[in-house]
Amino acid sequence: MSGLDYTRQEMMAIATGREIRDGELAIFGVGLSMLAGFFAQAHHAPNVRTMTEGGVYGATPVGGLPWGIECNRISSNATSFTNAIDALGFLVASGRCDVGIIGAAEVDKFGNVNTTGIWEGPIGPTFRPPKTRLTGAGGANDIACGAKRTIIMVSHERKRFSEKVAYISSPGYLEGGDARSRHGFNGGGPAAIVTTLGILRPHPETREFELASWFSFSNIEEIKANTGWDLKLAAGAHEAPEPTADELAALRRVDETGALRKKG
Amino acid sequence: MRDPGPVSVNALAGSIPDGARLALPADYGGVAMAATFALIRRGARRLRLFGVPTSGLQTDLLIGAGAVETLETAGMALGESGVGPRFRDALRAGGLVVRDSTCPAQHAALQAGEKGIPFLPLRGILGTDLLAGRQDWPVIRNPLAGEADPDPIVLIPAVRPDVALFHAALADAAGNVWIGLRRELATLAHAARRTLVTVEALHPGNLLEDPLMAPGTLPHLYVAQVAVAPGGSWPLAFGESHPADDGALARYSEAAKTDDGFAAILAEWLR
Repeated sequence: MSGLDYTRQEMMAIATGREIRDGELAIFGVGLSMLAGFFAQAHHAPNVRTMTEGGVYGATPVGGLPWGIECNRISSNATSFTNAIDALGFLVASGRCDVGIIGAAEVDKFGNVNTTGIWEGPIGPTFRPPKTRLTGAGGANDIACGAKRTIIMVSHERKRFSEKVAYISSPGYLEGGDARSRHGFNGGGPAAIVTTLGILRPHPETREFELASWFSFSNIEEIKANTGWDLKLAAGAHEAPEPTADELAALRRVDETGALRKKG
Repeated sequence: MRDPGPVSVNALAGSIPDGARLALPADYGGVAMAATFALIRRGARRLRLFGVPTSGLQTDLLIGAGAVETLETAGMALGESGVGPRFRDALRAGGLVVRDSTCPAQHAALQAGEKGIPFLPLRGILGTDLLAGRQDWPVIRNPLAGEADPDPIVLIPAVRPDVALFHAALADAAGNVWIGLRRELATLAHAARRTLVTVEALHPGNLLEDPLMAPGTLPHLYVAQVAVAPGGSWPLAFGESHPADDGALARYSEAAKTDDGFAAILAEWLR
């Protein structure tokens, strides 16, 4: 143990940020994914070129967690500011974006993401309305299709980790194997699912997500128990390094209102 | 044809007929809330809303007021407060038809509309369940691809909204509207059959004659009516000058969870 006091949400944000490399063109959604991305910029990737779905480039949040892709907290110090047609329609769609961070309400073993709804029983061919309606695909579908790689952030609960999602809002590797490549997307698919307990990565051939790392406060058994498919252990699976004091300080500079410290 | 001079907010909203396909910007994009209140006051019905590209408070209010028949949108949310409570209730009650889309699909439909072409091909979406709900989105084989390359691609049909309604900073006497960086509003106005705009203020002189303002100006050719409505996006934010009224938004998210609560806050806001 490092002796540092941090929350699971903070660990998830730091582990996600570690996936971002210096100099990349990166697109973030709202909330947690934005904090993870700007943590990377504050810590180890000072030259990351950040953008949001709304076309805000080169900004860092001011005054706390931005609540939207264009709110004043994110747009006030942008180096340029275009719009969603440019950000998603051109930069992401054309394959120029290196990495995107997206959230999920539900994710499955091939990294497909549901942000549309929760149904009881099969949806059926007539598409009946869900029991619980969620936001919808938004821009995440396009990031999932167009970014060279995506990182999915999701709280690790069994109800969120399904053998097969009820509804694919944003594609991962679809039915696995080479299913994704048949659809001609410019982007490569999810490179990692970073959770509140650990990190899952796709098997290079089957594309099934496997446990690559667990956080120090978790373990393999806990993660398997909270995953809705028979989670395999990836080759070389290991415990993820704990946050360093520098990492935690950088994250908390970005998360100045403490959004990640309010939850466990 | 453009009506001469600015009209009242009520007249502007009154020109939106029942049953219109009405395109509305996202909560961050310049929402004409004052005109929306006027639309609700006049008892609009059977509107077919089109999110540019997502939907929020304005759409939740219109749904709660019984004005909406269908909603085509990439996403529905009230900021961090989650899915709109009236939207959620309407779905449970079964009276609202939702056509799920994605952000670029919404923009692509308008881009095809502004060009007068029947569709725009769009990468992505394939393999998802969005297609199951969109029989109107055909998937074709790229006709330019080689024989050995199936290269499937989705076609997004053009959309030409009956009416586009948004809020902007400035208009001049000629009816030119300054939209600044909001270029998607230009695409929207090009595609829409009639564009109605509320503005914070009238600009003295001609916006297109000012080299600093002209690049962000929507020419009057695309603007049917303008009304002056200072603070017309309240309680939503509008640029740096009008931050969101967070208190009002939080109160709405809570109140609108029940029919009575919604009726009370709507009555208060319509006063």
